[in-house]
Amino acid sequence: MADQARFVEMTMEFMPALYSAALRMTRNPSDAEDLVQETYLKAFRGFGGFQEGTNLKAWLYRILTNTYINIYRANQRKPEETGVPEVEDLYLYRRLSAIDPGMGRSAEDQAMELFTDDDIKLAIESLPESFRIAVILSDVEGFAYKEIAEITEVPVGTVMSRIHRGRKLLQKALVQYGMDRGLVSVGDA
Amino acid sequence: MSEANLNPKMNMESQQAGGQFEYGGQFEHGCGSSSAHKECQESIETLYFYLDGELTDDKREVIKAHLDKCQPCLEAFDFEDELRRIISMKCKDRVPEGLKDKVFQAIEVEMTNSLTSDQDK
Ligand SMILES: [Zn+2]
Repeated sequence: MADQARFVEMTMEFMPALYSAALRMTRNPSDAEDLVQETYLKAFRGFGGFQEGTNLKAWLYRILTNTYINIYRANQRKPEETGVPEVEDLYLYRRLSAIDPGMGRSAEDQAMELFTDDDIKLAIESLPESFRIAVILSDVEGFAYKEIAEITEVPVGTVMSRIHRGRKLLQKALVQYGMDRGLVSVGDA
Repeated sequence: MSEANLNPKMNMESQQAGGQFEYGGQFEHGCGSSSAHKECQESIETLYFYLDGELTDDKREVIKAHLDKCQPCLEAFDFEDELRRIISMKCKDRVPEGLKDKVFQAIEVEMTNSLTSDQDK
């Protein structure tokens, strides 16, 4: 049995990040708590076999992701990768630079002011599941493509495509929120 | 003012297909030559790989050289980079009160169970 004190000492610092990721995945606070708890329990059980020097954070995310998929997606084998629209490059940037030209405010500043924490969270949560997981792991957690491939157990090429397409879908969702509130009107300059 | 502004949704959809860089005349290039245009297009297509640090050194240098001389591309790259920072910054949630204790307890129970089962052997 693994050394309890050492396990706690090494893994607890990741709880806020794991909880946020769990919440984006499950979209439900109580499910997210269960998922995090289950993740820690599984990690504790496997901790004896954890190799010192390997990436602990990636290992925890791998358990989290697998647990999520097993518990919450057991009935949905093939995800929704086909039938998801392709979104053009720089989707959000083009629209933000179009609305406010020459105001001296950068598109970054506009994005920062325009979108609340909830907008960003909802936009991520609106993504089809495999894209959502890829975007969480890359943009929120900063994992490299190769690490995400290991965490999600899919080829690197698939990971890349999910991240890139997921980001663009996210931008499209954000533009939609902006438009719903009348903050972004899209014209062709 | 174009009538597109009256119907933003339709306008957005009609623009999806193109995916060309000179959207709405926002990106103007000094020389306007087709080779410059091609470079821009290639840079934008490589943008995510570049920002994610997933390019080979050679390719990275090519993009970097382009960004040094192309302000519109540089601004677009900066925006995407900053957007990612904004996303990660705005995606933090507070761990619910008591979750840590629940996890501690679950581990405690696991310890006790495993000790008991060891004794059974
Ligand atoms: Zn350029």
